[in-house]
Amino acid sequence: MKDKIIQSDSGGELEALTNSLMQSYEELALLHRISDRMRINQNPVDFLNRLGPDVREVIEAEQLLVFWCRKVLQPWELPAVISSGDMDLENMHLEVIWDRCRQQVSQPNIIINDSNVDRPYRFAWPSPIRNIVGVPIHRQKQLLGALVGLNKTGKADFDSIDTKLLISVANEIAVFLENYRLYQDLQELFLGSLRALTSSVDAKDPYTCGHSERVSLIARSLAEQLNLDEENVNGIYLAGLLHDVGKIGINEAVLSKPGRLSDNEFDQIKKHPRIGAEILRPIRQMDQVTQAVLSHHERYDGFGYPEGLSGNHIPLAGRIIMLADSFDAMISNRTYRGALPVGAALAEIRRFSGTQFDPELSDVFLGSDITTLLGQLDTINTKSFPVGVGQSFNKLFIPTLN
Amino acid sequence: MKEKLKILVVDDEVHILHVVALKFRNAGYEVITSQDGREGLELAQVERPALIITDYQMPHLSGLELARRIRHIPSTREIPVLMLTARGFSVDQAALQAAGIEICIEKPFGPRELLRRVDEILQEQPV
Repeated sequence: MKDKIIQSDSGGELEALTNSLMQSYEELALLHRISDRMRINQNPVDFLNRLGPDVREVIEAEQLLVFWCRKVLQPWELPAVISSGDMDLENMHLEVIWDRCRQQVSQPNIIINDSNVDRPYRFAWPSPIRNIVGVPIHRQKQLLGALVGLNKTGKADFDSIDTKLLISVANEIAVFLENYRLYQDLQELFLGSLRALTSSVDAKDPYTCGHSERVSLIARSLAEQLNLDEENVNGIYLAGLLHDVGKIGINEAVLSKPGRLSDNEFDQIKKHPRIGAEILRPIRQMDQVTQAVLSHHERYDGFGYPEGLSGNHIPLAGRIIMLADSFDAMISNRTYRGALPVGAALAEIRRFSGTQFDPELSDVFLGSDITTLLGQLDTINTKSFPVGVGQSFNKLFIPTLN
Repeated sequence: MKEKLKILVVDDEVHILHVVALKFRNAGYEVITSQDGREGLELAQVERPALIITDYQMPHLSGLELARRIRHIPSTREIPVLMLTARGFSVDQAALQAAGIEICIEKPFGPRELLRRVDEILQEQPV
């Protein structure tokens, strides 16, 4: 029974077949691993950092490089590079390799395959590059990057099995990166639309232009200080942007009236949280934001509006926006008074901590780096519509060249 | 000269046997194979391998059942068993524990990974 089936025969043909089968098993297992990770992992850098060593091992290369074009590149720009292996490579190597990848990109599958094993080198490669194989990472004819293996170990050169595997892996990477890019685009579109909406509300009144943007920055900064999770921080940022959207339903004359408001006029203004919440209510995904918009004028001591909630009955996001909104109002010029100096504004917050403002939030805010915050607020040009994506939604990890 | 450790591999699919045998022989193990669960059980008692790799679904005797019986025979009780399962096929954890199966690996497995796991298990064993 022992070894009955497994006997080397006919000049090791069976062994050769088995070797080939074994390599196929490795590749299949690798592709399964990668596709499994694509479900779990959203972060491209993590995904590529884990993929690199794995692929490198399976194709038996000294080095594995993933070039990733995170944005449209100028001809002289190098994409981000995720590198796995111990070869002594410098920027110069990467530039040469990428440059040749780009030139060959019209080839459908393999864009570099060079060594001096079968024939002399086609290109001159800087040492220590001995053999090199590269495939494009592309989707819909758009080049997203390249996957490059260097210096085959254990054999003289990379073979067709290795290159086929690289092509499969590159296809998986392409799908992943494309999805990621689409998701980012969607985020940008969403945020951009929101900001256009809120800017339109702010823009009617020169005194409030940029206000929503500033409140959202202040609120987000506070939320981050509280170590809230990313989803909550983003929600609070959005709530900051949208908190005054209800003002669209308020008579303009009342909104921009200089001097004191009559009781009647004040009552009208007090409707804007509810109006804002009603505007947002149909958007299911904005539930947390809607709550914050409704409660951003509630006072900690219960004397706020519209519902007279107090203490922790007020949603946290609402308490945060209340503080951020008040702070920005104090340090800005308004129709009814000039801007307060920052020190005076902070003193007011301290004074009303526990009554108007949540005492814990006040403490955290007062203990935070106001100077840096003010610096960030300054960058918001009050005369024009804000552009660009907020940091929170652009929290891209910067891939490192290692 | 260091004596080679014996591995018993039981799987009704002959190509699996070929691949595993080649990989492990190249790594310095002695490999015994069988395509049948019942035969595998006999071989386990006769050859007393250091470790058994078995498939799950096999005719006559499943891998789970094989492992269970190995546990009940004094001469084979201590042999670690590693089971290969089909991808996406989950085996009841309690059953695995009761059968004393150390590890499950999904097919298609990377042979390199399989070797690594086996090396790990055997290194932990008292000689």
